[in-house]
Amino acid sequence: MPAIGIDLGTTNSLIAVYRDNKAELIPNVHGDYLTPSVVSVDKEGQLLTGRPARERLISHPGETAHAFKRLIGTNKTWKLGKPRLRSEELSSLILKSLKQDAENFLGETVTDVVISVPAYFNDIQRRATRSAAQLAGLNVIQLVNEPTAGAMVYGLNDTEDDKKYMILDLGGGTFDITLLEYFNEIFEVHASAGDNFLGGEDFTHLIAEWINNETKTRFNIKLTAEYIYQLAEQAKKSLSDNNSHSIEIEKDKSLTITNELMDEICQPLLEKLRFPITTTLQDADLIPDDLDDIVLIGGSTRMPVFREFITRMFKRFPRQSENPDHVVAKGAAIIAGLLTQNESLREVVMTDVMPYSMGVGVYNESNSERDIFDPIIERNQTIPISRENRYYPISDKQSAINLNIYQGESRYVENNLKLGTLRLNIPKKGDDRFVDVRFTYDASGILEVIAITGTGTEKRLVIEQTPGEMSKEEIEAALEKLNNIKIHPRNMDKYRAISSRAERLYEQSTGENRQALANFIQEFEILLQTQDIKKIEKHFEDFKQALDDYEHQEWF
Amino acid sequence: MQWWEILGIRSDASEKEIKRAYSTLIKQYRPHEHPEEFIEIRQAYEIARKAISSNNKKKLRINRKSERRQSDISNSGRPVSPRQNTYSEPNNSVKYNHKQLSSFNNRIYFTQQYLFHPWTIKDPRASKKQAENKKHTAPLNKHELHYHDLVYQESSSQPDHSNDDSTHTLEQEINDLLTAWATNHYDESYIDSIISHKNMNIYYGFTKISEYCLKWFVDNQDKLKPKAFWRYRRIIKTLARLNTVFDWEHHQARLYRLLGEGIEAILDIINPDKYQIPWPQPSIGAKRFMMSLIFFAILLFWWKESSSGFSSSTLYVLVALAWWIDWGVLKKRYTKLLLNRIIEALPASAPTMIYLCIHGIYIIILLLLISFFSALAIQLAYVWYKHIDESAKMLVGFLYGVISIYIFKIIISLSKILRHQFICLQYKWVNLEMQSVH
Repeated sequence: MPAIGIDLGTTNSLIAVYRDNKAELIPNVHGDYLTPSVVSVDKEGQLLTGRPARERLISHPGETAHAFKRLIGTNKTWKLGKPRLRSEELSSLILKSLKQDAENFLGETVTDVVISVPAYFNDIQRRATRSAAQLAGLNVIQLVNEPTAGAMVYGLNDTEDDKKYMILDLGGGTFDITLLEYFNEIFEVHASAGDNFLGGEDFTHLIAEWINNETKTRFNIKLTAEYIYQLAEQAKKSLSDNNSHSIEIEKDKSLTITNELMDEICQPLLEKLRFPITTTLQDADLIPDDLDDIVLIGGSTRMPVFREFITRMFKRFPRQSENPDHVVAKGAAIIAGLLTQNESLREVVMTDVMPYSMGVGVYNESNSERDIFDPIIERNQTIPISRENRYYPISDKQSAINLNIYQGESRYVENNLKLGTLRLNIPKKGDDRFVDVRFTYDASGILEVIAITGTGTEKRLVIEQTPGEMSKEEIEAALEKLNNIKIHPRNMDKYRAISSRAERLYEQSTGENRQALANFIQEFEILLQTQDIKKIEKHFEDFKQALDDYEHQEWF
Repeated sequence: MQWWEILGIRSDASEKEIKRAYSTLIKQYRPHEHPEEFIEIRQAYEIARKAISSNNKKKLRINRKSERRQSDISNSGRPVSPRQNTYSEPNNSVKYNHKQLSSFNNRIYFTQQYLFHPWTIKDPRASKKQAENKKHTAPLNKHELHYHDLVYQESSSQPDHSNDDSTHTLEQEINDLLTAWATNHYDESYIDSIISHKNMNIYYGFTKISEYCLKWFVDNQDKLKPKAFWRYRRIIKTLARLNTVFDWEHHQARLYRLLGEGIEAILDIINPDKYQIPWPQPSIGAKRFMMSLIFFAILLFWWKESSSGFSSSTLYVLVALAWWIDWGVLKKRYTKLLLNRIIEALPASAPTMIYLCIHGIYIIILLLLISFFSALAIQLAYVWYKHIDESAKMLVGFLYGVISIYIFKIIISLSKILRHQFICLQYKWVNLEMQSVH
């Protein structure tokens, strides 16, 4: 049984396997490691995933879903052709395509996997990720936190023992921080925090906003939102390597963006980065001088703006020796190897933390409307963990106690996430009018609440399902729905991808180039209908070369 | 079992030994396979680690103080016992042999740890007592702040952390800025200069500035209550803005430890549900004074009208005044006892509506009463003025007095409604502005 780790990201997803004592990435049909987390639907109502869908994001934004990971665990749906799909279902399509790639690569069936999630995902989001895996026919051994997975790669590559790392993971949609110590082959996470709505996409949106304002005020041109978004993305990527980038809008009309300017534009986001950093350091009771290394993972950490911010904040250079896009998937594979008792990892142990506090609501004396949240398990404690607390009834006439179980950090329960309720009867008189509540959170992320009254009656609640999450029936219905949807055959995927890409370029180009592109597309479509694989393959290479040249402005 | 027995080491083991023991144990009892054993080992390890780290901090603190105060102690020449020293009383510090001190601290600390065992059952009944104890331990917590200050200074003295400001001047700077903000009509530009302070991008600087700001607010709560009530909007806005920058709400527990109970009052200002803008309510004495002024005016008016009516007008003024005060007391009792209870029993959004409804009904009743009394006064004047009589004058004057009371009441009631609306609007504005910031 292979040890498989999946990084299900906001913008890109990866799959890796642990074998021959090292983690290895698995390429997809197109030969890339990165599979874009995008789902689209074509004219015939067939679903496309990965790169062909990504190309359609610009040309057919209405029929394409992306960044759906941000809304996992909610009831939001995307309309793709006929069916309306939830975030879990869309994620399951991505997982399915990754699974197929892995099966082709390894030559055996893949069922047991480790999936990475942002460290700051709450219970609902974690469970939703599990149900997405279930829909894709995968069995999740464990969900691991992305920064922890990234740290595994760095820790195993380091020969030195006894080190403290701060892992900063800025992905497409989420920002996570983990403070971690590595000693005697033990990975111990001290604290985790993050922001689920702060990532590379937000930076792109800010740049897009800036471009929109500038074009409107300076040149009085109005561009479509999708086009601006693409320009912003190009600018962001280009600024990772160069200090300045010029955005050409029309002939003789261009905007220049530099890193200094981007620093100014992105200031509100950079300020938001500070909260989780301070929280983790304070929770772990460490100061920045205690840290041996600051490690950056996640594709968005390539941005010079982010790196400068971190360098300024800690007055030292962060480390990024591995490819930031690949680290999480590799780490997830290592953890899969660790859990399936791979021999070379027998000595390695990993302990993780729960980044949220969990507790019950208690009566508020100053305002009976707003119950106060009383945490039983505080945040950033090593799991598995078990804690107990005793509660008393409010009044003498009370015959029962209602325990509402919450997760979160706010003082008032209404701002926290409700996980469940327990009702316990208590005697009307006597000394044993109290309830002992024990919270047990195990390593695979399941919370068990045991409440024992003074008289000895016991009630248990295993929190398995929370509102907003899919029930078993819903999952079955979704499975049936997904089976009915036609998914585009994957061997034709790369041809589909290139024609969508050509269509996108066609929309952006003008004059002669446009005509030439139209000819190319028509020729290719005719070839596709003949279904002569050899001819198509030959033409495909030329076509790809031509498009590459065109995108690098070397055509004609 | 004691923690060292669980970990299988001696009680005075070093940090490395503890870590090694822990790692060998959890390799045997992995968290996935043996959760119960793991929890036990973990708890023992956590106590051990806490003890070690607090020990180190104490050591550092005492060393620093002893270095500083060495000259003072040598001057005083007073013999100091080591027992006093462990409680880190600033005046009793003395330079000690490190080794001796650490082993001593170990013992003290561990016995304390066992008295306040972290996984013993917490009794909420005891929480009140703990809250009382907290007040006594407040000065000790101040030392923690002191420790961080020292770290900050230390890092600023190192070449790679070169920083011109020492903590003292940073605190002074922040305090000056905030004082200037309060004295210059709560001008936002001073807050801007705090937020764009050059130390904000450094971890230490950021946490320090956050603490100093909050500390200033706690110490100068009277400055957050300006005489001109329209300044409140600026204060709420500024506090909400600082809260988004420093995220005080999220770090409440830690700040509470540092700064004490004062922070709750500050955080309540940002919380629109809890905070009520203190309106300059006229006291009962002031009300009576104002009413007597009005009556004095009426009295003068009547005195002018009739040369002989002075004594009678005094009488009806007194009668009306007594009646008015009685009415006010009655009203107060009713609103306090009945209406407030009804409001409390209803859902959270209801009070605003009920508040407006009650005042609306109140105004309608007052208008009805005014029209009734004025009609009566006109009738009486019409009948009685034909044959001018001392008693008629008195009656009509009394009625005019009553009408003027009601008009005054209506004005007060309307102003209350307007004020309520004003507060609601302020929160709307602030919320809208904060949303746009996000």
